[in-house]
Amino acid sequence: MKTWNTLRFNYLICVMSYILAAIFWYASRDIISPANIYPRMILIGISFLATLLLITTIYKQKRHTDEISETTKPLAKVNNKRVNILIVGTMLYLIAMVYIGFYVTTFLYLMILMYGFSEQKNKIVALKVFLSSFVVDALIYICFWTFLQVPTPVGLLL
Amino acid sequence: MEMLIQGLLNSLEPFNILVLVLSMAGGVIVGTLPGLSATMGVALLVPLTFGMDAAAGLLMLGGMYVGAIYGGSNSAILINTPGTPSAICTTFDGFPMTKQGKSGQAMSAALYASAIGGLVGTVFLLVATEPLARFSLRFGPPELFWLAVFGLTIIASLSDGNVIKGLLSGFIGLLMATVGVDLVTGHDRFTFGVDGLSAGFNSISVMIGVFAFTQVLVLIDEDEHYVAKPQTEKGVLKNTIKEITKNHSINLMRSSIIGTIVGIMPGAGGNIAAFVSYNTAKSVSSHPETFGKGELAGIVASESSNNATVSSSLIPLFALSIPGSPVAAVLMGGLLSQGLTPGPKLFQQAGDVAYTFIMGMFLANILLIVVGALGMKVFARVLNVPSYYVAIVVAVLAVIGSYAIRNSMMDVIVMFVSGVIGFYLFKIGLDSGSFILGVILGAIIEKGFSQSLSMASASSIGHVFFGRPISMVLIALCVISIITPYVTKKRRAIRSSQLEGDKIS
Repeated sequence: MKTWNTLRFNYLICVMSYILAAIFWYASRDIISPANIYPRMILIGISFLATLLLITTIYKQKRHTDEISETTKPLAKVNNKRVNILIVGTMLYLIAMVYIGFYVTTFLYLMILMYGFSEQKNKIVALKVFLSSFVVDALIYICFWTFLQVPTPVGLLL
Repeated sequence: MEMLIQGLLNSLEPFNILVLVLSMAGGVIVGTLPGLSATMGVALLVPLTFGMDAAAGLLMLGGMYVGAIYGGSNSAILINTPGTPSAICTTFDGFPMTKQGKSGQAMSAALYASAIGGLVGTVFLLVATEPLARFSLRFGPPELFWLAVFGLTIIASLSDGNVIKGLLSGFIGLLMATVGVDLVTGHDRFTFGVDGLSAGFNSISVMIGVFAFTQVLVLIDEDEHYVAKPQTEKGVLKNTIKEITKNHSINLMRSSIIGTIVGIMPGAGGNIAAFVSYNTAKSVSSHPETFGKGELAGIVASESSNNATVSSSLIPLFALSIPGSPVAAVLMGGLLSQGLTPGPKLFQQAGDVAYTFIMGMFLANILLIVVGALGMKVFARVLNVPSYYVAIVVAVLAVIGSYAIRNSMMDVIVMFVSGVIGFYLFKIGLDSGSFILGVILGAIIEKGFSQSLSMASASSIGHVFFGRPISMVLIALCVISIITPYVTKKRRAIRSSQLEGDKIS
């Protein structure tokens, strides 16, 4: 099962690489020479490497060999619910900060997601999360706004 | 000699020491936070130097620079998020050591290596400013092109699992670096009608996305209570210094010298120095298979070389009045605002200021151990915080860090998208280190390539790219760097089969 998974991902990488190379090659038709030489060399390189990966994957599949990644968890075992909550939550945070303001949305983002991902959910945890969010937001404000004077998106509020 | 002693005495004045310590502490914080660069930190301090004595003002800027370059290692080691691009290689072994419960040892190694690297770079700034600056002028576009390609060859040794996938990741990174205004014609390239992409993908935003936001997703996905177990062993700094002195002193010196040489080249910086030193350390190691899995030598190589570039990047500025790096350009502004003109005459016209600054840089690197040791204790506490708290705070820092680069929401979107895509792509086997190498080195490679092509119109392409002496040395190093992992792997296989044969017989 593991062998098939990794090899199947190799096919996916090959297909994605070919599509990427094709899109960029098509877009490179408007670039005047010699400015198109360098990007086209890269695109040829990507296509060549994708073909090489395809050939070695077919060869490995025939010989039933596979490289095993020790560092990453297989895609099939990703905790989709938690990951999706974070991605959607961050998207909403990025949209809201433009209209509401960075510091207010950051406080809400910290509070909602910290509580959402907490193992236990009760009043004490909620209070802890509220205080932590407030302290982190205040520290970011002091550090970035007061000391470093780093600008942040400003909306209706702070 | 008199000037030198006077400079040393000036730098040891209590006010100057206080300025150095405070600016370094600020630098460590700036460096630790992803997205806040050394350039930004130094630039923010320039207005504060207007009302100060010239030497003290310059020491303040120097202290910030030293602290910020070192500070990048803290977040690289503790949460797998390099605070600055020059700390990318530190993540390769730093975070695995944290996962193994050796965060204290990893941070101590980074601190000690940074201090020694900084001292070596300052020695060269003091004794060899002019010859080194003249040598740096021999690095034209073809040499810079090959130097960046040499940095890219690290992919061959990084991708132990599948070299083809590593190279493919690096090439995709190079392709991403081509998006934006073309250097030759000035036309938009690969922007697909999105105006915000005209300025290209900012490499720092992509780096924050690929490392910081991907790490946030990994932490949420893993759902473990803590990031890793903290190391609470007493005397860890002392023991690590002993171990480095005993087992890694050659690596430490070699990487510091590599950092010094790379640092003097205009356009090359701490990131290339770290890539080249890491690659070299792995290539010459008797156990290269341990690199990337928590090898102390990897941290020593990366951190000593990137801090060596701090002083050496100022050599072209002091000797030739050429700012070789963005921070050197800001420092040049600081010097000019004090009525001092950098260049060969600086040492004659304002020798007291120049030597106070150089001796102050020695002092800064010594004081870094004290400031860094205190900072380590504070930053290491992040491992006592539940991982979902850490993840959400890192996500916020990634947002503000990427926004701070150019005050642009586009950079934040690039960070978020590259983080999400990075998370899934690396789950299917593409390599994040190789990809980011391509993105960061892509701009330098393309610039070198385009300028070399323009030069080639006057002579042959072959001579420009392959016929210049320094280029030939760099090409040879590239070939050695690519071949070495294969040779080592083959040797290892032969050795293990011999051992098995001996056991059977």
